[in-house]
This record gives sequence, C-alpha cells and structure tokens, in this order.
Amino acid sequence: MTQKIVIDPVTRIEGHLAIEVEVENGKVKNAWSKGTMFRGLEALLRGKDPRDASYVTDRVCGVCSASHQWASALALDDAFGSDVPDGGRLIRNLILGAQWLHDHPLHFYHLSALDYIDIMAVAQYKGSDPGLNAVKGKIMKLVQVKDTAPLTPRYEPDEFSVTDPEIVTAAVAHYLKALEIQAKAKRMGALLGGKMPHNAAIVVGGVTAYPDMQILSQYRSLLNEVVDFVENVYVKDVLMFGTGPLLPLAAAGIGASAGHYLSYGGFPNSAGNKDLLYPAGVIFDNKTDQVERVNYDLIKEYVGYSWYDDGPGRHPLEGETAVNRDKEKGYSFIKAPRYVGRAMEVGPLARMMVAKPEAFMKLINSGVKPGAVARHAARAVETLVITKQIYRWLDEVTEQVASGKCRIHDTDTWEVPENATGAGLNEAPRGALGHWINIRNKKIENYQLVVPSTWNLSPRDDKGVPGPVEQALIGTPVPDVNNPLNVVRIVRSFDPCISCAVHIIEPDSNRILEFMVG
Amino acid sequence: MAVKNKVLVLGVGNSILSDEGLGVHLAKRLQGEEFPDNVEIMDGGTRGLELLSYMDDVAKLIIIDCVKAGAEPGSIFRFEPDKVDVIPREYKISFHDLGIYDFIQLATLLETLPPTVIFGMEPKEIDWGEELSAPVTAKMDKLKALVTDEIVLSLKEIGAEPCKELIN
Repeated sequence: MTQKIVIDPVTRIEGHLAIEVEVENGKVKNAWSKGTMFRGLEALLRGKDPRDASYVTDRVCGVCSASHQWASALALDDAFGSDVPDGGRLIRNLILGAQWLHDHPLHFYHLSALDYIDIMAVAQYKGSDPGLNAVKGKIMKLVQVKDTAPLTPRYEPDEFSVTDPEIVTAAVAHYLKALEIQAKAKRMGALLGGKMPHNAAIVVGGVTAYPDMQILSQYRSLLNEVVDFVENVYVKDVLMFGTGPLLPLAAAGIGASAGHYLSYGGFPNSAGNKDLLYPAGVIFDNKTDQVERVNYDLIKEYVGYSWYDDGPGRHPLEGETAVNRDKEKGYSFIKAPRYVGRAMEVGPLARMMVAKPEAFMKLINSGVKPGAVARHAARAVETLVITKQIYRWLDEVTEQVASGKCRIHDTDTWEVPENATGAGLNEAPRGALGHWINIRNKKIENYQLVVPSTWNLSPRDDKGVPGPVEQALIGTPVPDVNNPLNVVRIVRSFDPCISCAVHIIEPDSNRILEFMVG
Repeated sequence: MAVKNKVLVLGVGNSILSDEGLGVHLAKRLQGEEFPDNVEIMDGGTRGLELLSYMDDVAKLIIIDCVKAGAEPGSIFRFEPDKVDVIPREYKISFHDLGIYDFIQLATLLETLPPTVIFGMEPKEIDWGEELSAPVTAKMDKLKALVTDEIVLSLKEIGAEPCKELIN
C-alpha cells in the first residue's frame, strides 16, 4: 500500500516549502519538494540604480543577508570592472567569515540536533556535574509548565535517536551555550559592518567602513571566544555523534543525493579570484577523485514542473519569471537549475567533496557515507577550515591598518557603466550562490538570483529528473508513516532556507483580537 | 552585568515585502525624532536570534511587527508576548527560519528577555515591494503615536525622565 505524507513546515508565510513523500513498504518511493522563492524580486530591482542592488538583496534573507550583499557586490564588481583592494577583500572575508561561524553551529544545535536526540533523556540524568544538573533543572521546569516549544521536536525518537542521558544533557547544555556564541559571532560581523543589525558595508568596489585598531581588537577577542567554542564543543560534538551513536545512520548513507556536487568557491586568500579558501569545482556521479572546472555558462534553469510559462532551459542572465499557476505539471515556484543537465547538490558536503580536507577524508574513510550525517560533518569540518584562515585575514588587515596602508575601496569605479553585465558567483553557508545583473542605460535591466536552496530543493526538470533533496529522500526508510523522522533529518541536513526572511506574527488563537487598540 | 537602563524600540520585518516591513518603516520614522539618550530605535530587519546580543542593557523592549490576525487591514494590536499564544503549532518543524518568535522563546529560555510589549498591525499585502499598502499607510501616524506614548510610559516605569518634547 502506498501512503502519502505531507510535511508542510512553515505556516507563517505566504509561500512555503512543503515536502511530500509517497511511502511504500516502509520506504520512500517518490518525493516532491514544493516551494516558493524570489518570485518577483527582479521586478523590484528593475529600473533601480545598480549600486542599490546590494542593499535590496541584503533584505532577501534574515539569516544569510550578508552573503547576498557579497554576491551582489561581486556581480557589480564584475559589471563595473572594479579592482577591490586587499583591505576591502579582507574585510569582506572577515564579515562573512563571522557569519559562517554563526550559521553552522546554529544550524547544528538549534535546528538539527533535536532530530537526533531524545530530549526527554535529560530527566534520567543522574550525574553530579553541577552545570548539567542546572540544565536538567531548567528543562524540567519547562516540562512542568508544559512549555518546551523550542526544544521539542515534532516526532518521536526512533532507533537511531541518541538516548544516553549523559550525552543528551551535555548536548542541551551546548545548545544553550551556542545561543550565546551565535550572538557573539554576529557581533563580530556588525563591528566591521558599519551598522547593525543589517550591515551596510559591502558595496561595489570594496567596503565602506574603515576599521580602527580598537574595532579589530574587539573582533579578535570575540573571535577567540567563538573559535574556542567551535573547536572544543561544536566540532567535537558533531564528530562524536557522527562516528559514535549516529554511525549506523552515517554508514547507511541515509539521505544521499545522486552524487553530483557543485561549488562556485569562495573567500579569496589573495587578490583576484584564484586562491580560494573553498575551491570551485564540479563532481559528477560520485567520482570524487575527478574534480572538474566550473563553466558558469553551462548553468540553465528549467521550468517544466514550475509554475512559470513554459520555455527552453535558460541561463539565469536570460531568465524570465512569468507566473502561470494553471500549469498541470507545475508543483513549485522554485525553478530547476541544472549544470550540464545534472541536478547538482550544493553546500557543505559539495564543498568538502571538492576541497577534500584531511579531517573530512578521515571520516569518509572511517565509513561515513555521503548523506544526512555526512552533511553535518562537512559543515563542522569547513567551519574548522575557516577558523584557521580567519586569523590570517585578521592579522593581514591589522598590519595594514597599523601601517596606515589599508585601502578598502576602489573609488575609481564608483560610477555606473552605461551598459554592462556581471556575475557574482560565491559560496553562502548553504551553498553556491549566484547573482547576475544586466545594466542598460545605467539602470538595472534584469537581475536574477539562483540561491543554494534553489539548487537543492529544485523540483523535477524538463526531463523529469528529480532535484537533489527529492533524490535524497527516495529510498529512505520510513518504518512508521506517522513518525517520518528520517525524512525531516534529510531535509534539514541540507539546511534549507525557504522562507527567506518573512517574519510575520501569526497568532495561534483569536485571542489576539482582544488586544486591538486602534 | 551591564546596567539595564535603556528602552529599546525594535521595528522588525522585511522592508522589501510591502506591509511585512511596517515595523522597519516605523523604526525609520521614529529615528527622525528626538528621544532621550536612553531610548534606542533599531531597525531589526529580518533578524532573529542575532537580536539576543542587544538585550544586555535593555530595561524595556518594545517590538513593532506585522501581525496577521484576520482583522481589518491597519488594525493595531498591543500585547505582551506571554498574554497571547503567538507561537503557531507548526512552529516546531520550521526548517530554518528563525524569527521574532524564536527570539522571544529563546530569550525567555536564557532568562534575558526584558519586560516586552509588542505592537502589531494587520497587513493588507505581503508581496515584493518597498511601499506600504494604503490602509496600513493610513494608520502609521496612529501607530507612531501609540508607540511614542509607550516610550514615555516605559521611561517612567524604569524611573527615567522623559524629555519635555515627548510629553508635549
């Protein structure tokens, strides 16, 4: 018998991501990822001064806004012919580096960990550690008042869930600590961003805020705290889970996509775009030892199953967005981007497959197969990779500021070109992020974004080939259709960002009407 | 511990999604007004948990957001977060969208949430655009007046002197 499960996760926005899976004989037989994204954003940008693009696209996402700002500035750098000086490049790296240190631990502790641990095991903690007992007290207090919302996953623990009270209680303690740390990491970005919370620093040609020694030293002291947490808590936890209690899930490769990986590369270590911290590359069919060069002209978006007027696959720069809700085959507002016709997974796993740092290869060699757990591990390893490099960037910029030789902006190219096109290809925490701009008569003629979640959550393409998340779900064991924990684990392991910053309050009761004051 | 002596007015929402950004629009209008030094007006934009880092010295928090309650567009609400069940049932499964709910929940968990009042307005339109809809625009002066009154009240609550211009 085939049963359908619909996980419709986000109720607070107009357009949401829904995951629909068909389960037969305890396994996912078919999967559909349905979502809305960015429809109409290009209309908002058309006719604007191109320099505004980095400020507008910064508002696109509540979590990764600086990534959009950066990709947008890169597209403009390309169109304007800007030569971003070293200081500008380094400060961009430091603002975004802080964002990565923020995002990855947050994703693990606050969005994913609860899919893997049985939170109620905290009640069984019998140890004598005062810190852990305080955590236990806190959780039990919430349980008593029946207010465990932030900590309660929707589904019941299954055979893969971690139930050891010691491990679970420590994980919850780290969850709380991670909340403090994420705020510190965000503050680091804000220090160099000129304005907080939505920073205003990254513009075409470089950055706008010249740092002084005091700001750099504040950045460094926050960095020390954040790195200490990343190295000694976050990475250790992920590796302990991945190679310990979650090894069966990891070794089973639950949640693997088809094995096509794409990284645009990001974080230039030196001038130009060659020496990147995360290298660019393409891998097809799990052939991880054959990393090919990325040819950005080969990206095409298909709309066969998307709610747009039919047309051939188009490069983003030629992209059109004519909504058509009547299409019979249509099931998503997300277009289907493909690279040489392949559905590419983007994000930490893709980046680490391309870069192959030692710490990651060790895990792969110890039996962790590509899949949901490997995605978390890749995220942790690449966070470690960035913590090593971020000190070098900070040292360089500090030296430049100290000697009065820090240049942060290429002021010669501030004027808008009459007609130009530009591409900003970069890595956001969730994966390959591309912005494309077409300037005519000094105004934005067309602006297109292909965000990481468009790649990962894409619907079927014109040939009927499912997107990476859909592929990752097909074949997944779901022993109990009322408790599709593996489905949620897989979707979340991609760190999907679908609601892109809508943050309306939608109260759960009509009682709100009693509070009307005007 | 920092001294808690500040009134923080936090306008949140997405300013490129028309009425969704009404909190940000109001914050920007308030930023053009004179307030005592211990009143801070912040454009919180689409931030969620990041806002936790700004609570250290806050004695009173006033949040302005778009609230969808099924009332007439432009309706204004004033409530304290624990008085209304603002957390939708499906909250638990949100994949990665940490918004103002999460901020309130987690600040409560960390015991760092100052006394908080939320002002909300019912939207008409939530679609790409930088302009507010007509019914929301028409009520912005009223919302601004209500929030300003709240600031005056809050300053008294925390034992600070509101400046004369505010009372007038």
